[in-house]
Amino acid sequence: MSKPSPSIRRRLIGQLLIVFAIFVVAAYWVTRTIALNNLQNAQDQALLSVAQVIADSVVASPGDVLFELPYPAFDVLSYQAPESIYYQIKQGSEVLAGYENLPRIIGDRATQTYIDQSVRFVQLQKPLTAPQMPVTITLGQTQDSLRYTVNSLAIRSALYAIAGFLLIAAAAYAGVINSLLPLRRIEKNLKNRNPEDFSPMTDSVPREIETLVDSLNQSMAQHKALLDQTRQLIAQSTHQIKTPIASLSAEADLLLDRVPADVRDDVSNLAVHARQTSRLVSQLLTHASLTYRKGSERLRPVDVVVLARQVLDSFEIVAEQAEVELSLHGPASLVHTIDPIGVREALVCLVDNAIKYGGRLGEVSVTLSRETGLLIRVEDNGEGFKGDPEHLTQEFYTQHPAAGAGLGLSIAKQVAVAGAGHLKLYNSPTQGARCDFYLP
Amino acid sequence: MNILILEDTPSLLLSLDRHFKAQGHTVDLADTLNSAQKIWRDDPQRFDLLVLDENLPDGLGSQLLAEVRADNSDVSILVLTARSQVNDVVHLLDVGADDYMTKPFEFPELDARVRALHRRRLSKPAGLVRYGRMEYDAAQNLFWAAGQQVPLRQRELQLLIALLEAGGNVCSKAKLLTKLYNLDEATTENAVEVHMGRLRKRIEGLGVQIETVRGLGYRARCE
Repeated sequence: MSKPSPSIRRRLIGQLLIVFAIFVVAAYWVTRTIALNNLQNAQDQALLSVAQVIADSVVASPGDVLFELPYPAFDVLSYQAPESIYYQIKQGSEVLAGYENLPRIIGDRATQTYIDQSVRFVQLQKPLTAPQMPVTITLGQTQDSLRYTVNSLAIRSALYAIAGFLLIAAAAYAGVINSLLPLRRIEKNLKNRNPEDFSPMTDSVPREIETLVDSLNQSMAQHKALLDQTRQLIAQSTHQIKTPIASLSAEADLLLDRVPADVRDDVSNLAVHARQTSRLVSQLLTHASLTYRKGSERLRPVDVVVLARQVLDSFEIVAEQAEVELSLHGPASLVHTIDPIGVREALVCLVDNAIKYGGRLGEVSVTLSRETGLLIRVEDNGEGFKGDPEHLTQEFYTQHPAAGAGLGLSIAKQVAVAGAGHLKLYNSPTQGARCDFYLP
Repeated sequence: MNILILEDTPSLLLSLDRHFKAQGHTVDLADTLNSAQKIWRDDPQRFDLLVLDENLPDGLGSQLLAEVRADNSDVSILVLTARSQVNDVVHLLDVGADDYMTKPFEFPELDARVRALHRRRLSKPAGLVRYGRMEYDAAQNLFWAAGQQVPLRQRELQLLIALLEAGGNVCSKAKLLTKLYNLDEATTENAVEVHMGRLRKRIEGLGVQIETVRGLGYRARCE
């Protein structure tokens, strides 16, 4: 599978966060600029009017310049906020009144740093009659309260922006989640499906993802067709191959009685190989046919005691040849809802294994019980499993290569798993191998 | 026995023919459904056993099976099928087959099944020797109880006959062992104990007690 790209939700949140940051910074900056401009203008006007009052009071008298400082006007400036006020009345290079070392102002207004404070200055010139030089009036006011006001306005604006944005983001997020719901439904549908279920998805979906669902359905149909074809081929070819192998096996058996003693071993090997091949083919067919019908398995209530009795009866001749005693234990009747064909095949495989590997003169018992579900226990009194019995449920894995194809336990497990149950293999505490086939 | 074999694969048909003839049976062969139907209709009373292949070029073996059962014939029918799916097999038994074998099969198992089918059709003759509640049918080599055959396996039958023929005398394990197995079969006296245990279970309540005589062997006592 290709590496998944980040989820739509995560991508959406990422993009929203970026837009969000830009939006908040912009709101802060725009509010701050506008507020600063407006308040600055207001301050400038106030300062200019006071400077103008001072300028108006400047009068030239011979050899001297007279003026009056309008203290009430300064008070007007202070009403707005407790700011410091600096002023200077200068003629040429001579400071007539006020602070000596105010910074030099170019133009009629400027913001300058003075005594470590940001100070707004305005400057007016009053021309006097010659030979008097014009008088320059410089008036400054600190900007602490103005900047405080501007900042709080900007922050408030940013906060409004955050709140508004959060609302919009929540709506957008809910919208995305909502529109992803049909996709989630499809995901759940696909995840919960039986691996053999290729039926088309019929969920109603929005038009935007209809094509996706159509393509998925089409792809599933193609897979199903391919799988069916393959399984049919396996089933048919196995049928075809069985009869010639039967002939081969029969011929080898017949030949055994008629050949000279020195080639008898070779012919006997031939018969053994033919039989091994025949077992493999039989189990392959069972495996293929079970897999083939798994999707369409029919569950119905069945008396498992009757089913088990029939299976044991069918093994009677084989068991007699192996000198193995078969027994069935459990209630007189046990009705459980199962796939009878699958369970019968599973039981055939388990009993066949127990007879084959339990050893001559052994006993094979089948015990039926109902606990939370149906438990079919098949046990023998032979040597038991060697090593980890779980390996045995793997296809073509066998501890006795000469005796079987290694498909029997895999078939039984397949049936158990298809019925949401399990197959547990272990050595019995007393003696022999034990297989617990459980179906809920 | 008279056996009609219907099988469309020539080599298998010939193998079956040779095998059954070697066992002393009389055999008729057919390789199509049509020819088998002709042979059957010609003389339905002649046969003891029909061995039918299910898949044939001109039909299904079960078609002949249905015809035979429709005639109310109780001839034994063994179906050979390559179709081992259980639903096919259950269907064959439903329509009247007595037994089935899936291909490929082994001759010893085929013989055992044929013997079992043959035994099933036997009827109890009169004038049999009685042991407890059982009667021994020496000609057909089986025991009867309450009109039914006692289901005994071959080795159990051999043990029981040996014990009864000893007429209440003790049979040693070693002697019984020679009755059960050929000289070239590797086995121990444990096999006698195992089969004796199984025999006791099967004839429980039928009026013959098998006693163990410590260190000597076994003896049968009839009620």
